[in-house]
Amino acid sequence: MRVAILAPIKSSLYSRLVTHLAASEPGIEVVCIVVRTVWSIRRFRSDLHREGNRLLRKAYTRLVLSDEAADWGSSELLHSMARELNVPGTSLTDLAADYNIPLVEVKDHNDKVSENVLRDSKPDVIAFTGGGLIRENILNIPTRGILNCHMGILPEYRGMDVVEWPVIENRDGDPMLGLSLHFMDAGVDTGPILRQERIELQPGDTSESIRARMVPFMVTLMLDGIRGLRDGSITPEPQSLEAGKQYYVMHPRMVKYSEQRLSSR
Amino acid sequence: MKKILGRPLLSLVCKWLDDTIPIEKIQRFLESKESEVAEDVAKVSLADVQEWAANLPGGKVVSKAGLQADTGTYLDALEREGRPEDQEFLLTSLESLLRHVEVRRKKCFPNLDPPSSPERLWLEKHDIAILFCRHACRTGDLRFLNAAFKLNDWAFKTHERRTPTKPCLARYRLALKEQERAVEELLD
Repeated sequence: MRVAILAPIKSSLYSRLVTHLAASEPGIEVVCIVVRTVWSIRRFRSDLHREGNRLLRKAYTRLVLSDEAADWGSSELLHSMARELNVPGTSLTDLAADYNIPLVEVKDHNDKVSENVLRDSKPDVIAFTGGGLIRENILNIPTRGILNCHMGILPEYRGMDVVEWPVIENRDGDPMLGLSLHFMDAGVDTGPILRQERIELQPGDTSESIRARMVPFMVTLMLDGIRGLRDGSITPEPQSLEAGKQYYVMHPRMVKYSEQRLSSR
Repeated sequence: MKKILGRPLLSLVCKWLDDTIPIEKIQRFLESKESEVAEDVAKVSLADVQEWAANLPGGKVVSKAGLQADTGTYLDALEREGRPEDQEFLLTSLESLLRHVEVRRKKCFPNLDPPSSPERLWLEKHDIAILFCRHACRTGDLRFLNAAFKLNDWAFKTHERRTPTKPCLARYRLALKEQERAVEELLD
């Protein structure tokens, strides 16, 4: 099975782990890695519009402090996973050289360069490991689909900040926290679901610690999905859109309440 | 070195870009002497609302042409009525307003359809914030209170710089009061 990787930046540990594991898997050929360039004014403007000053924090942790200190990328669990699995090098460039995979840098995953590279690579599956919204021109390229691991339980929690929303919505009960591996479609997190993993709250949890615990599961879910598609052991289940809602960026005041609820549990 | 210099620089830029209005500032604004709050319930008949809904272009409350005039007041009245036959239209309209606010953010509701004065546009925006707060209280759907926080924060900055007209200010105070009532009811 031919797999292409879409990555947000070259140093993304999540992208590197997925690429490394997929490339080491029998019956899977990683045909290309398409990675976004670090800087593009257009992208910065659209991300700033969507995420506000959170984007600056993200950019700071990634560019100044490097991936090691990025919020959820800092997950010690993810780093130990990378050490255990002997992920070579420090970036996707090293990995691409090691496995002899073509790596292409693009301004945007939806631009013409990206589209041409992906079309020429003829992937069955694209593993999306971050880097913005994916448009129709890319969605139609792989024969099977584009896999995304969403940090929330679908179909209930689509969209943004889906770690904080279940916490604030469930004052007393167990918040519905977890991850969903799904195929991307034109909607926001509305495509068919392949796998899910529930995450239980632990004493002293914060949104950041929950996210940190989730990231290693993102890697394993993505690989389970790829293997399942290769073996034919997974059947993607369409979502019932009425069963869930779309959530948006949480206002800082709401975030405070969410954190308070976590700390008072 | 870049890490030492980077942190304070980042917090400065973040502070400069921060849209959030501190709660103390909202309280001060609401308690100020000249506080005048708009009338709580707009008197709208069900027949008026039904006529308005029937004449919406494409059945949509917000489109490329702009926000349909009276959307906030009429949807609020319709929700208060609570008739089962209106629920589908009500929920679809509320979801599309929510999506519009969250996607367009500060650029949301750039004009009214039919076009009207900037003051009328502000009144309509405050009515949407009021509608969102009340809907959140009625249904417990916190996404709407979340969007009302944003709408009210963005309006605060503009109203702080430019003194709005009295009716506009009164309506904004009502929007903030509804917001704080919803916080008390749903979050405190």
